[in-house]
Amino acid sequence: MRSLWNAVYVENRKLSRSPVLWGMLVFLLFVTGIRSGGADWNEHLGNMTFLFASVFGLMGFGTMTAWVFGREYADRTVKDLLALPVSRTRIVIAKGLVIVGWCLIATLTIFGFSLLLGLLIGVTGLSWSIVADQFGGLLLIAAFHLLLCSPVALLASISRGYLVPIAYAFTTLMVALTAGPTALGAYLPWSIPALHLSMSNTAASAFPLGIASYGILILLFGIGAAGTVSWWKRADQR
Amino acid sequence: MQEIIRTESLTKRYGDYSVLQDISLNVYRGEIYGFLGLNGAGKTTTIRMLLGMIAPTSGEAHINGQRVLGAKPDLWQQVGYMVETPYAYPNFTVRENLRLIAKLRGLPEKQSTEAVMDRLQLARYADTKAKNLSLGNAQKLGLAKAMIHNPSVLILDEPTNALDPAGIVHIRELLRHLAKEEGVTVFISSHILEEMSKLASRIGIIHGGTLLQEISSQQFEQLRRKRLTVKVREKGELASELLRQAGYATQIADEGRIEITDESAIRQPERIAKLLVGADLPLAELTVNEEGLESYFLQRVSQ
Repeated sequence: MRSLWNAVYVENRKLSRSPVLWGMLVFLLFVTGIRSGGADWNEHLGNMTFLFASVFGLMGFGTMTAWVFGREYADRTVKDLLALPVSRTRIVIAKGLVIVGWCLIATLTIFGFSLLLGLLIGVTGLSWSIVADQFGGLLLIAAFHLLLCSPVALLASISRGYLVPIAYAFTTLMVALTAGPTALGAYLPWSIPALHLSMSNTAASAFPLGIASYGILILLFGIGAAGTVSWWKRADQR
Repeated sequence: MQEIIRTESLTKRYGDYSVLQDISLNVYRGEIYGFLGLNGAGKTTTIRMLLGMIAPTSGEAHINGQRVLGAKPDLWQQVGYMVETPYAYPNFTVRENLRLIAKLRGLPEKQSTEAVMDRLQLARYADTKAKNLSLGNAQKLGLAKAMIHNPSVLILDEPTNALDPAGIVHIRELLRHLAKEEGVTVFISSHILEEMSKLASRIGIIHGGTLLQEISSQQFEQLRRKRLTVKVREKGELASELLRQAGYATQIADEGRIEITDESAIRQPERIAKLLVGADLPLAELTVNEEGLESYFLQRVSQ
């Protein structure tokens, strides 16, 4: 366990020093700021959540994931991680945990920022149940996006860099935006978060899409995560 | 003597292309084993296989009695390595890069970092970002990362090729000290013959993916020595016998050349000439040269 903690500590140091992380945070805050305002708190917070769900969540989280894994290849430092008293599986898990941690911090930050802006602008009808509701919704969307990030990690490892996985993240985003409104939307992993959000406003249950949709997200995560660990453990690292 | 590194018929093929064939070698505790070969001979592939970074097509590698592939992570606590060009996190300083490795290896960060920087004369550059280091200092940083945990096995790929002469001597002395005084087993690959001959206690020559030959330090000391080579037009055995009777230790080399390594012959080659001419054995050739490791090596790899 201690070796996992050491690995998490090191991965965190590397990521927290990265301009990619801070640039992404600033960008998300900027976008949140632009889209703020609305008739009431539901609209104000809802706009931000929807933007996050449809575009920037995948882009931001995906870019971070691509960088955390891809930079080891781009900077040629991966060989320093391959024969250590910390297993390669633990290194991959540590990277995953650090990505999750910072993505959650990013989520909290944009929510807090949005709240602050709403108070400053003077949006009407503040009620803590609305805020709690919206916060829960945003966290769920963030979780969905994190599930979608594991294939990004796998692609970064296989392509030995961060360009291919970032291209993948943007491509899946475009596919989601295009195919989301169609019948295919509920089964396309990358359009599921936005679809879930748009339906959860009117639906009675917390999970308005069919179980197949959420199952697909979990399946995709499993494939990406298992694939990444397997690649790090077994593939020839030339 | 305790066997620390062992490979059994290590072979690697990529499709039809064979990179390594049947590499079997042993390295014993406290030895400095030099793996010598031209670029592309398979040195780095062998090293990557010793570190579990590449899986062999067939054969096995063992360190400290454990199979490398699928070894428990504990094995790597004993092994320090540097593979090809050493890279570090570019925006972290030397000190910070070392602290990251120290943390990953579960060492006391500050202590072990300062100690290894002193050992490798990197303290001056402790606060320099890795991206701003000269090639030589980047290589020293790579060595520092390999040694920070005081491993009992060091696997180093071309460890001195970017260092200046002072750096080369420093590392050579350091590795010799580690091997002799601390029983560290060192496996080095290089294409720099001169350095290898000064450092290694045994050299394995690899060429085209095959281990051609292993020679000990005594054997290549002989190769480095000056020698006098003489060739007579005919009656070579007679010439050889004559020289032997005169007290010279002769050896027949290729193409009927007679080789003498005696000091006296090298200092006064005219005596040899006089002897042979006086006995009516006309000379075709007389040279004094230092064949050395280089020509020996080039000869072996061209066969």
